[in-house]
Amino acid sequence: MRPYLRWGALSVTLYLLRRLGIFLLSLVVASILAFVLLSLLPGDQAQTMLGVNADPEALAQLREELGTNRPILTQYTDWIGGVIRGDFGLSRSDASIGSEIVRRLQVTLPLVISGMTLATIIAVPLGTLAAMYNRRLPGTVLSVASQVGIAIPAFWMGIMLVTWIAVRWGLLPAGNFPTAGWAETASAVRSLILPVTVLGLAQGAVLMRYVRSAVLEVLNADFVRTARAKGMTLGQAMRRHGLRNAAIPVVTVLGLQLATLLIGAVVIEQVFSLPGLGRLLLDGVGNRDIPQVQGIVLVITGLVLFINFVVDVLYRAIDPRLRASA
Amino acid sequence: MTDRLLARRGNLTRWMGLALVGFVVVMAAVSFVWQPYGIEAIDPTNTNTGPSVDHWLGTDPLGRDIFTQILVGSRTTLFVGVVAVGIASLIGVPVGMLAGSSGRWVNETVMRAMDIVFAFPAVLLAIILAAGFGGSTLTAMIAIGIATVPVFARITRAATLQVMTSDYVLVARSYGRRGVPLMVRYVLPNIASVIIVQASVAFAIAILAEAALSYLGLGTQPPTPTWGRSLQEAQTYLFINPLLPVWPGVAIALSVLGFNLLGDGLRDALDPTLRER
Repeated sequence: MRPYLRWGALSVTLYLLRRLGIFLLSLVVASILAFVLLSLLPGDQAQTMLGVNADPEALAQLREELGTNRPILTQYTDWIGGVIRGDFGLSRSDASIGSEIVRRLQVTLPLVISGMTLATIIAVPLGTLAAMYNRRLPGTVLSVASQVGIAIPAFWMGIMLVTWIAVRWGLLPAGNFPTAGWAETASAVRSLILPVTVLGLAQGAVLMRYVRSAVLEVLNADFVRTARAKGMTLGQAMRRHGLRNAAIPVVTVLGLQLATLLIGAVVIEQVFSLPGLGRLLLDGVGNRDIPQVQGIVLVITGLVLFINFVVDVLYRAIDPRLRASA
Repeated sequence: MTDRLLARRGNLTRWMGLALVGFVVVMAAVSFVWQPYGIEAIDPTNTNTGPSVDHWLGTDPLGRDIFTQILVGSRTTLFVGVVAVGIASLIGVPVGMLAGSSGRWVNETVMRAMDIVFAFPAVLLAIILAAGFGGSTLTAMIAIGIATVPVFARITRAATLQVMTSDYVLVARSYGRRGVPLMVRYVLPNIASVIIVQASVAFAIAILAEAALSYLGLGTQPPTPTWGRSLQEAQTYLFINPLLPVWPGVAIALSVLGFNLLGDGLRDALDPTLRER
């Protein structure tokens, strides 16, 4: 084997290890932030549970049971130790927070992933078209459509779809995810059609802008001109060289968008009353259920950091220039 | 003919953006001196009417004037936007300049810290703050502001890195300019255009975030009207008055569109290298 190839493999491994280290370190810092921020907030948990006029002795006893009278560091290490073993503790209603999060993710993750897929299906072809027809009528129409799409709040689009498609015309349910969950597959799927459409359209409009500018960049690149000079048509040159290069910035944006979608889902779940992670989070805030909020905040920030990590690694994988200079 | 018109799109974008933003600002300003009705004035005999001469956008199920609600709601939108973008740029720009002008270690550490802040999006931060303090205009502004810091830091850092390699910075450094004076006198003026463009775009995102927070009940509380909460209230009455959610949504969409177009137009005007596209 030629020596520089082995060096390449070594530097890739080093790069991966470094990124993994940064990811884990960020995760620890984020978990400390999530825990400490929420623990130090005003509003003593025991006080909220027993009310303002509670007997001081009962309060002290409850703090003892909850463990909120211990030093914050001990509380954190206990909590994070549990989380690592998959135990997020108990919610105010004595339910296991961990298994509730897993149950809710069965709604949120399909929602986010289908939304992302729909956004990509819309944005990649339309964004490419907008770039190819730049400064001509089709390109301008597509750009205007994307600008308008970005400006429309996703939850407003959701409310409008509920008003007309669900309430007025009764074509599709306005949410109503079945209580039996995915066991009732057909109605579960039907209840997710409108929310997925909303997330996909809203995110697709944003993504389309990035696809358009990435493709525009490539269209003006020297290597496409060279390919044209060798006798390829523009379409051939784009398929052979262009799209591959345009994919690099788009993949990065896709990752960032996945994080945005996760948060967008929190709002959309509220619009369509879907029993997802976002609803659980907002219910937790409503009940001042701090352990529940801490657990969900950790899961969401952890997912965002994980997505960033994967994007960084993918970035290397699809761009050989970066791989060589790792 | 159309081609020539399309070629001048940059100008058109800028003017349309400016017009829409100006419209929202005028609405907010007007609301301080004139409101057609009181924001809490209910008229039980006149509920759910359509647009008319008396009530330009009709009335809601309590008989409140919708136009008044939208007019006064524009204040919250602009106020939250200005403060949030202010917080984000006042923290993000110095942090980005520090990262962009320092050695590898500071640069890396600062940017990784920004990645961690980035993992707490505005809505999540607002939820955390609301869990302790209850939702308010203040918590919404802080949450949106902090969550936008990494965006400003990244963009400022990239621009600073570029400017630091320029000849005029080299000359200034050879004359002994260092640290803050170098940054303020030589770097900041040359990256200002990038930051201004970003501020306009960030404003648009802040409007969307504020609307979402108000909708979730985590932002400005009643009786102060906000576009987001108007939508939440409208959703309760969908069966009775399907036109109700239209107006606040249009108001949000037009303001976001305005700030985005303004940002695009400014980018074209301030950065000649991008004009080719």
